[in-house]
Amino acid sequence: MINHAIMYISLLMIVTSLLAVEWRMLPEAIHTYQVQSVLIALVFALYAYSLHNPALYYWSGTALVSKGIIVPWLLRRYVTRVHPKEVPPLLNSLPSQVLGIGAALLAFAWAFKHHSDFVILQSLAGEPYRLNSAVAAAILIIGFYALLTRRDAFKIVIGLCLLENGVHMGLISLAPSIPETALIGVVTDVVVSVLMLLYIVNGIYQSAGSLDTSHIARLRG
Amino acid sequence: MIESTLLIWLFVVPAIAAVLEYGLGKKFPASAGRVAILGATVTFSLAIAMVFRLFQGARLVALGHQLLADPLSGFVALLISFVGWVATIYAYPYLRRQVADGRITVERLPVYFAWSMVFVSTMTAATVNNNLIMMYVLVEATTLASAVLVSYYWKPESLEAGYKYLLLCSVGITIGLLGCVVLYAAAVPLVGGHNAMLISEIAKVAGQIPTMAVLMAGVLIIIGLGSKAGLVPFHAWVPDTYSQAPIPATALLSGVTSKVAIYAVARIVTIFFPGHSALGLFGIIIGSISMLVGIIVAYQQTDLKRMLAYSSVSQLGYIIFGFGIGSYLGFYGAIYHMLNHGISKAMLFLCSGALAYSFGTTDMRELGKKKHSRLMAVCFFVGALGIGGMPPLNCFWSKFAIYVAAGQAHLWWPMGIAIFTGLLTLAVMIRAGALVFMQHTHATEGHDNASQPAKVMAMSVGAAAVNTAPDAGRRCPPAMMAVIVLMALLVVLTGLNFGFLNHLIDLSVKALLGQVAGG
Repeated sequence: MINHAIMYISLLMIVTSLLAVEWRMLPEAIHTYQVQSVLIALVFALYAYSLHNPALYYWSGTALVSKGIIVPWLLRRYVTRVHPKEVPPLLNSLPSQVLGIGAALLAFAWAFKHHSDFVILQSLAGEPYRLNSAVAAAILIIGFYALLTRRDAFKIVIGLCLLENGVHMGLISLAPSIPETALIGVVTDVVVSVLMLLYIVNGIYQSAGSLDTSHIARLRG
Repeated sequence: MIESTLLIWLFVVPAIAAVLEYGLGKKFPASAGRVAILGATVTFSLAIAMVFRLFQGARLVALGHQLLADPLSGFVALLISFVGWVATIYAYPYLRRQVADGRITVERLPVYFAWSMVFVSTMTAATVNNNLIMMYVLVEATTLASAVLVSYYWKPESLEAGYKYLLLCSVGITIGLLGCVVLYAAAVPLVGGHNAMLISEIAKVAGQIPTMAVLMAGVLIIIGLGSKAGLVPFHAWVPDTYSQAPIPATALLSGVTSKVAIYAVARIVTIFFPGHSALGLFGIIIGSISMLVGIIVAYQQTDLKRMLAYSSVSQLGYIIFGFGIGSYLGFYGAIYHMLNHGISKAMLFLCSGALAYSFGTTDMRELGKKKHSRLMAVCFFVGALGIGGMPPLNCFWSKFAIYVAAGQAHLWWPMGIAIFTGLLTLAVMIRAGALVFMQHTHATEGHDNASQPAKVMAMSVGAAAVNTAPDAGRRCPPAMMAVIVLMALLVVLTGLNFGFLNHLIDLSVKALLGQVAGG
């Protein structure tokens, strides 16, 4: 029952990743990322319950606070100062969606097929770990896709956040017994890096009046 | 194994200095830098003390083996704390001049010194860290601390550099984290959840980890942490970052931060040698490409700082190449080159800072029209010829060790690339020195420009001064010049490879080889 819940929730994370990248309105994209962060916290909590690993409850809580509250709040705070609509990406909507979904599917299929090559314990070779590592691969690729094809600095920050969610999903599906010491450091780094990126992005906007990264690249003296 | 609190103090002392610097700096901004110099001096002393203890043969541990220092850790910690120390001393007059020129406000001074101490603290912590996931955390922390320094001037160019640096390094290091996760997950069933975090424990079971997991983790870690080191093709941030950060911070970034990333790669990936030679080959390929591309692009630069930045990309290629070979001599050359490049390149960046201080530009064509001090020219050429691999200076010996190691391993094509790159590097460095220092044959030393305040002001704001006579510029403060001379002397001394240094490198190589053997 819990395993099924974990699997369905993780599949929803692929949908939220695609929406966060493809939604042109930045506040809505941030909301979608926020929903995904709540889902990932829920997955961690369900794992904690089913595996009786209290460290994962701490992780679930820190993920909820950092990714579900602090990072979206920071993003929204900076976006409202600037503009609600994304700087047009390199691709139009339809080809972008087709390419994004295609890349995510390929990554999903590859990780699903090769999952058993990475694990020694048979208990980690089955479900929901196998599906979750495939979901992690898909989210990772969607994050990379956003980094490569988006020109809006905020969208690129969202892409980085997705990349981190993908890695965290990989962490839980490959090593659910992870101790909490390392997790605190990982989560702190994520929040601080996003905070600093947004701080610098805001500075760029104030000095250049644009968040188009292709325009920013021309500033070099 | 001996318990030692030295390992903790090594990163706690600069962290305390950072807090004090920031706290006191708010009240007394004009005194900024004094606490940082004291903190950097104590950190350097601690690193020396740690190295002496490591000479006795035992490894030092703390916090239940979460921190571990072997001779390689001591070697890198010594390099970091030394460059941190000289860069902080150099920054003291350098930044005050920028305040006088109106480039920054006096309130910004404590920000630099506090964050540079945080930066040193994160780097020294990474050298004694034995926790796989914390290695990611600490390398990312070095990025976060240094990003503040890269964007320090808060101009569009420095903001762009900071954005690029933070974004590309964060993405790279996140890839590295994925590699660490794959490795950790594969080690858990073999050594248990908590022990699988410890690199020294994973090394003991390295042979039993599934090949697919090893290869994937190794490649992700090399790519991820290699992007932080600025290896090709993940080097897009390097020239902007190195040219926009304040010079003392650039000396730290190029001289030692890139070495921390390489150290982390070597520490983790070499545990799979020689069983997974494909990882070594991957390192050799990335290293060879970085060497060649870096120096070719360096040749095209007209700005001294950007040329030095691309040359750093090339030199880091040598280091990853040496580690990739995987033999005693390969490791020896790589570790020796970490030191040699760290000192020589930091010195050259500090020279470029002194030139910018005197003439308000780092454009080599513009600098060629100026009148330079002979002492500065000698120091620059010592560093440039050192990097270029001119015998008997330091980089010659480390590169020579790598060439021989490549020959012994029958890696003929990478050896050819390495030798060709070495010759190109020498040409690029001599060309840069000739462009800057040998255009005016009437150069004299000991000039005094106190009678030309108006001209100095014009240069400091970057105005084009049209003069018929060569421009002597502003005199370099003694503290900055002393640091440059000290480092030039070290370039010569490290080339002599006296007993102490040779023994330390030998112990460092044996520490890595012991790790390879699972010890």
